[in-house]
Amino acid sequence: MENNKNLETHCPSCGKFTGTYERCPYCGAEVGKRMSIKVFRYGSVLLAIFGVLFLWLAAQNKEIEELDFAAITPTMNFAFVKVSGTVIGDPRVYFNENGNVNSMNFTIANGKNEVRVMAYSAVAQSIIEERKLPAKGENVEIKGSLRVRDEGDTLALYIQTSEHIMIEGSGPVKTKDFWEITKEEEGKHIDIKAYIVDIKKNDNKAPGSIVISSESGKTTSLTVWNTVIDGLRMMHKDKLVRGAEFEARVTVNVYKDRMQLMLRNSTDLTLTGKFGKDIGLSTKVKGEITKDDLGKDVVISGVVSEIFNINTKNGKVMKKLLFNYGFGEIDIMLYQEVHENFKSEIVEGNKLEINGAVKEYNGKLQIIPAKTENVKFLGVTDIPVKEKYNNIQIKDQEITEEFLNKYIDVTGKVYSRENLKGNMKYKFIYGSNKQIILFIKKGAVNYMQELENLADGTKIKITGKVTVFKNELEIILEHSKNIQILGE
Amino acid sequence: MKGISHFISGVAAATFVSKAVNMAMYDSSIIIALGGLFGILPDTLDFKFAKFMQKFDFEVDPHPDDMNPQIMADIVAQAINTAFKEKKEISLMLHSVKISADLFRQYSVYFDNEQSQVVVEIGPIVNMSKIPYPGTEYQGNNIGKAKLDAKVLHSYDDKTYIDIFSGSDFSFRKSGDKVEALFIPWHRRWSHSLTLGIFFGIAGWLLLKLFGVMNAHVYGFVFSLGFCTHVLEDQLGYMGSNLFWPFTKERMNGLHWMRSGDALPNFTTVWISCLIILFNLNRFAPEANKAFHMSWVEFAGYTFFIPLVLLLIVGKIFDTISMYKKMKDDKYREMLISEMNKESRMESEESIS
Amino acid sequence: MGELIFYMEPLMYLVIGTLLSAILGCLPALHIYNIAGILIILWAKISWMGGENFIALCAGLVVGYSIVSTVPAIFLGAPDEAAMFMVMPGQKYLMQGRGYEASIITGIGGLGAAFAMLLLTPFLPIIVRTVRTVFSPHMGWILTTILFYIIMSEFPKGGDRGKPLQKFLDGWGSIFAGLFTLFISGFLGMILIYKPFVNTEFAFQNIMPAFVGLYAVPWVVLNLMSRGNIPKQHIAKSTNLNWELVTRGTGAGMLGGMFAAIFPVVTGGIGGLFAGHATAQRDERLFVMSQGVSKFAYYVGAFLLFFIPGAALTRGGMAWMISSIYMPYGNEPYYRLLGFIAISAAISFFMLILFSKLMIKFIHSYNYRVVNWITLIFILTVVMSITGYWGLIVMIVCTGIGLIPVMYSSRRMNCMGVLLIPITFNMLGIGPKIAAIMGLV
Repeated sequence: MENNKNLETHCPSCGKFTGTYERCPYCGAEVGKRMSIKVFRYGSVLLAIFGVLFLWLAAQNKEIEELDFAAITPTMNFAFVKVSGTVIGDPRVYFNENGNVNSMNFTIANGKNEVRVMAYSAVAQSIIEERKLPAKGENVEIKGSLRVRDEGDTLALYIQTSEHIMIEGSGPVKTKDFWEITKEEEGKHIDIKAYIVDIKKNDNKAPGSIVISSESGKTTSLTVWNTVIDGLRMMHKDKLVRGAEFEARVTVNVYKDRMQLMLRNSTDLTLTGKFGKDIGLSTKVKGEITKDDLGKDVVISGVVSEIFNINTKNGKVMKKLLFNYGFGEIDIMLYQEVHENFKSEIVEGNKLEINGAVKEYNGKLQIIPAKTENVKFLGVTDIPVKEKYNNIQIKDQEITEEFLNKYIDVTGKVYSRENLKGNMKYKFIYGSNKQIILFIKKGAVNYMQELENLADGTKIKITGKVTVFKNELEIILEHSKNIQILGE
Repeated sequence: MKGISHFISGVAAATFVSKAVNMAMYDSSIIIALGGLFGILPDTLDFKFAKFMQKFDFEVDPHPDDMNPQIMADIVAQAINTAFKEKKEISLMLHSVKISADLFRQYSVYFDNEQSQVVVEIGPIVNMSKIPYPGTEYQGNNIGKAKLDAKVLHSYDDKTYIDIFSGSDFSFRKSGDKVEALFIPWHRRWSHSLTLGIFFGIAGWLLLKLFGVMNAHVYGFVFSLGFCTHVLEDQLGYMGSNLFWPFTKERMNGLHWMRSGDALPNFTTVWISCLIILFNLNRFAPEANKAFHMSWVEFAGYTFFIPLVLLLIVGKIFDTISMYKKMKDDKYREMLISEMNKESRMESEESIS
Repeated sequence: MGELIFYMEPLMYLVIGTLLSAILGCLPALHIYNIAGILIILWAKISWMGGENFIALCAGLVVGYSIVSTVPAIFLGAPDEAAMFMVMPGQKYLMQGRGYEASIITGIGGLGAAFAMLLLTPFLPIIVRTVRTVFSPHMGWILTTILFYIIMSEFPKGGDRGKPLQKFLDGWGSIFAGLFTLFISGFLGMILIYKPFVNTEFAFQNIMPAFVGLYAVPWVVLNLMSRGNIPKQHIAKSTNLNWELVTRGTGAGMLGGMFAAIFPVVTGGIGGLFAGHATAQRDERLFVMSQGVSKFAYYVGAFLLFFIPGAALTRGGMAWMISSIYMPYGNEPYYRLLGFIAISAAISFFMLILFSKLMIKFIHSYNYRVVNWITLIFILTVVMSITGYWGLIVMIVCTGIGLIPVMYSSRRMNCMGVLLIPITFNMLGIGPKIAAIMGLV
């Protein structure tokens, strides 16, 4: 081993092994190296540094090629190319449990060719944050790394940075109050600001909704896919609650001739961090419901006076309840999805609590509970609400104390009206000029405005309960349906 | 222990911090990797910095063609005697003797306290695996002895072999009527202290906070954790560390549970660390992303104890194979027969009583 | 019988693949992935065989390469001590005239790996699924950890004599060289990933010229420059291995190889480093053997992962290359591939013995430098024809980088920065920002 000393690996002065050293570490003498070693030693560093600098400059000025769909072969896997096309279908965004974006994808079409565009984690996140996610129908130009699968039949493009997405002309985005948006704005993106009232996922394939409210209590709902709702929950966690103020970019869609405000991506909604007071907390009605309450979410309790079944165009049955809530009567519209899940069939005389938004239809106010849970069963009233009940028919006999707390049907004429805080009090002459006090409750009056203004001598047929008030017998009338105006 | 053992135990320690795992998972934080970095840092400080800063009062640097063990022994003795006489710390470097890129001339230094002398013995040429090449024994006088004025207290090995890499160094210091020999004195001194670990934690915390990094305190904690894990692991060996520098000045003796370079403790550490990492990452993962639901006892059973038992069985099988091979050897047979007799005697005694 | 005929044709291609890669594997620095690249281009151009047959061919190529490429690695790499600080164990064997022994030990390692892989078959899907589920959200920092370890485990070489500053600079020379290699290859990697130079037509070979430049060319250049002479080799009767060493070597190599196969971007070299450190190997036989195991486990294991039913991972160059033309479905391809691996490994082992003996004869009768020249010309032709002038330029620049660790005594593994650094950056989400700073977006 020791006899193969040569002058390159051993010090010429002290004879010790020096290996790669060019100066002997023991005695400091110079150890010569052959030219090739020296060349490669210094050459490699120079080549590396200047070579990389050259490639860097070249790369900065390199244009990215447009993908030629006709020329696609499996060997083009990993090609870095530019693809332009139209977005087909809504982009999808997936989130992890912590609300960060996991991935996003959408498909673009260029002629007959389709390319799935994907981005993961941080890149996807920045695309979303920078609002670079295109909408269905938009024209885009995308640069990315191509993946060819199935011998070229499946193409995917992986985006490496958000700057590689270019969206062509989506137009300026307007900011508006949501209740002022109309059907005519179909296809437009509009920025709105409102408060969250409720979020509803849909079990079947139909989209869910987010009920929103303005500060003044106007409500509407945004149409949202379940994945978007999941995304929102991921992103905002426990901050996504009733009353949270948000800003959102919605798209105006028209579906079956009705306007929908579509929230396409969970990332199109951002929370401002502020909270509205009592937003969406359905106000218990403390008075009559008027047109000022349009759009508000209210809670009323009362009695079902009458039920109408309405067959809708799509073969479903909607129930319209005439509902007396103490301050008046109002129509309650129950969609089939709402009433068919109610634990028992709703019948006249049921005492219910209804939670829903006040709407207007053909000039009449109505309340539409959005889900079965918004209709609560409170009990059954003993007040008959229709003539068909076996009430005592009063013809000629006198209404005496024996009828106390019983229901009677009687025909007669009213005189000398008196308004008692919305309730009406009339003198009621029936039979052979017998007289009793008729007390029409506010609820009925509000529903049937004429009751406020019955001219003396107007003949009516009523169903009412006989009670005693200040030692005087009177008939109390609660539902407008229990009164029939026969004329003067 | 080896670099990788320290490194990966630093990583494993960091995975116990659930906040750190969450930061790694959701915020792309490299905090856990930093745990590993701080896990290896104490050795980095020693072997990449402190080592080069050490100055030597005496150096043994023989020429491969002319080793002269007597001169070497004289230098070692002179270093020890100077330390004893002048009551100051004296450092000594024993350089390795490089023959070629992978061959070294081995020599050993032995402090013979009975004869009060230091013995230097020139050995064969060895390769990087310290395996000697047959027929390379040193030609000529291969032993040198020199008188010592005092006995030497020595905490590491009895005989120190100098072969591969850079060699070894000592520092000598008077201690009572003896001289204490400290092996590689620059190692596990200030760098291997828990106080420094805590300092790094606090410094890291403040620095990162200054730069506006979120959860700076978690980073600080993980830095300390990785660093201190290293220090405590090393304490399991022989050499020990100066645990509370600068409050303490000396290395505290280790627990003597293992030798830091041995394969088994190192491999076990790496294996256990990997299991801990897997278990903790799974434990702190959201329910939907969990790969398994096991208690740590069950997990350790499957991934540690069952393989361990299998390995032991395989090991025993190899023992048996080698036993049958050795059966030809007379001495081994003798020992075997005596063992057999011992066993049968024990059994018969047991049945009598 | 019907099944047998069904498998006959793929089996034939398997054998052809094995033999082909065994023969080509004897050329130094020629990577089987380059050959497979050419074959895939041919396949895409003229579609000359069925997908199943092509996969069998690829399986043969991978298995054959992972065992037989040991031959040039050991016999055509005489160390030059004037240029290299460290001598690898395989080279030590060569210098002692025991190259044949080293070659066989490595081959036994390959067989051990094949056997271990068959034993692992039932567990592999579970392991892969668990590892993927648990580790995939953590890949960014795991790659960072690997990067840190590569940096931190580069130990100073030399630095024994002189004043502290002299010692420091001497010792740190190789560390600086390693860090510089890692940095500059990472920098280049960012460029290559964000602005590839290769024509889109053969884009699947984007990174090929870089790897050829980083690893293959420096090897050939070094061989050509080397003045180390290969001593007379003898053919040993025994390898001096025992069962314990075989088991330990297989265990260690499998750990490293499978680690590399399962984790993205981690190559056999990195896996081997981890396994070697973790199992604290000192024994040279163990080292040489576990290198063989690790090589097999990495190349073949990564290929096999692509076929795991329900948990397929695309790892390693071969799987990435075939991923655009083939997608396995169900259990059958997995078990078929395992069978193929076993058959091909056995053939390869005999080829290894044969070629080692041939090589020994060859070395003594011919100037082996000619082989290096042939290889160099072949490599240049391949790079030029597939990736064009730009590929050639990238290759030349990478040769410069690849020579740095060799000339300055650091580890060649640092060249892996070319993939490791950009991919780690991307996984940590900072890749696009850095690319933007570099003006690449």
